[in-house]
Amino acid sequence: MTENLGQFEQIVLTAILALDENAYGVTIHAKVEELTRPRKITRGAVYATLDRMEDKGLIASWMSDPTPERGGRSRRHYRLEKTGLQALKESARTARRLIDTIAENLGGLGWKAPR
Amino acid sequence: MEGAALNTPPEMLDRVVRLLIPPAAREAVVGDLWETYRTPSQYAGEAVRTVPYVVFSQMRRYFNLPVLLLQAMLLYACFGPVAAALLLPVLMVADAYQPVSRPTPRRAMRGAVLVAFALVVFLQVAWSSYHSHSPLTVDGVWLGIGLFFVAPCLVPFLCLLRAGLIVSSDRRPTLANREWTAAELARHRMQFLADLRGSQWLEAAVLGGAALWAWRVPELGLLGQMLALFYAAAALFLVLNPPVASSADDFLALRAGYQRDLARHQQLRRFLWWLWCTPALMVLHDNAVMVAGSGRLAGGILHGIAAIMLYFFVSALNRESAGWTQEQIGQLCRMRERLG
Repeated sequence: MTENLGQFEQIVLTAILALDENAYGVTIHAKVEELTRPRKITRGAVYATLDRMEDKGLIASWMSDPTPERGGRSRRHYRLEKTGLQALKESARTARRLIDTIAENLGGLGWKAPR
Repeated sequence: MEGAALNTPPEMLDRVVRLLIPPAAREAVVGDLWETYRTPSQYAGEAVRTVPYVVFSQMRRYFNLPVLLLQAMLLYACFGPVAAALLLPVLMVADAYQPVSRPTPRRAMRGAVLVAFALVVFLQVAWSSYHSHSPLTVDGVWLGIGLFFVAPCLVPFLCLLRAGLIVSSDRRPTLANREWTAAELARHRMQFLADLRGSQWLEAAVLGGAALWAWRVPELGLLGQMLALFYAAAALFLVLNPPVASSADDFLALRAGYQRDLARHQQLRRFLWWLWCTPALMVLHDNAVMVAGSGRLAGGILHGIAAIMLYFFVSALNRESAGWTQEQIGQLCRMRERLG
């Protein structure tokens, strides 16, 4: 049984998936803002969601080596876990069905499903 | 992001921000804020928007409803409903700011000395309030003077107790190495879980025995029956929920699973210690009030001292254990995989 994801969780998981090895606080926040444009998202909301998803076992985190541009502090990197990937795929399938249904019903009005 | 100029926030502002961010998230969050630093106002604005989320997230992470209920019961019984309502949110916020390492021996000793002296102040206040209702007697005055000598007598005892806990924590196995193979880590985790299962069974048996005892002691009355039910429920929970390793395909998943095991164990441990000490604290408090109320001030004070020392002991145990767990989680976060 896969975990049901909220909309914001789906977005954050997608950002981690897209960033691959380079997924940490700053880059995840930037990617989430890009995905939710024009909505502004606070970085704190991203941290809270990351913590919650880590507790659910959807993602895993680890600390990198310290870097000078961060005042000698480490980055907390994130990666999707198997359950997180499954949950994201399930959400994508649901989203696809929604898009198809909307496109089917609004197709005559000139609405095009995003590719 | 890599090539960012080394433009750093003002020292004072940075110190305030570091202070506001809970220790568990501090390194990553402050590092991110540094990385995106442009101007002091931008830095401050970003911090103001980030801190509440981070604090609430840590509060949620450390939230332990059974422990909170036990603490509420204790506060209600000792200080009344207003104090309980006011102190519970404070305790929740304090949980969010719990340190990520064990206290240094120096700090622990300083805490013990402070507790001893705070105890004297508390006892003096309690003694004065009872003394004002009773006639001024020579014994009462001597007792009041004698209370000033409680702290110097208690300090070595509390320090010794604290030192014992520090030494016992030092002996616990740690994940000291920086590089592990997945097989080594898996073995270490399985050993940790096996030890945990053993101690959980043992504690369930002791809880079961305590439940039987509380049920059979007629003097305890309704409190005994309630206690027996609590202990029996906790024993059943321990038997039905043995720690089991979740499946992990690779080093990272294994490490994340181990971190979750450690955090879960710490939450359970914290609850069990509070479960053991709450009834004893309530009984000691009630006795102190009853004995002092019946005119035997010295007896009441002794019960009060016992209650505060028990509280000190359990808090120190929790502090050591939580610090050890956080240290292990931190070590796991920084651990690298050694291939081969």
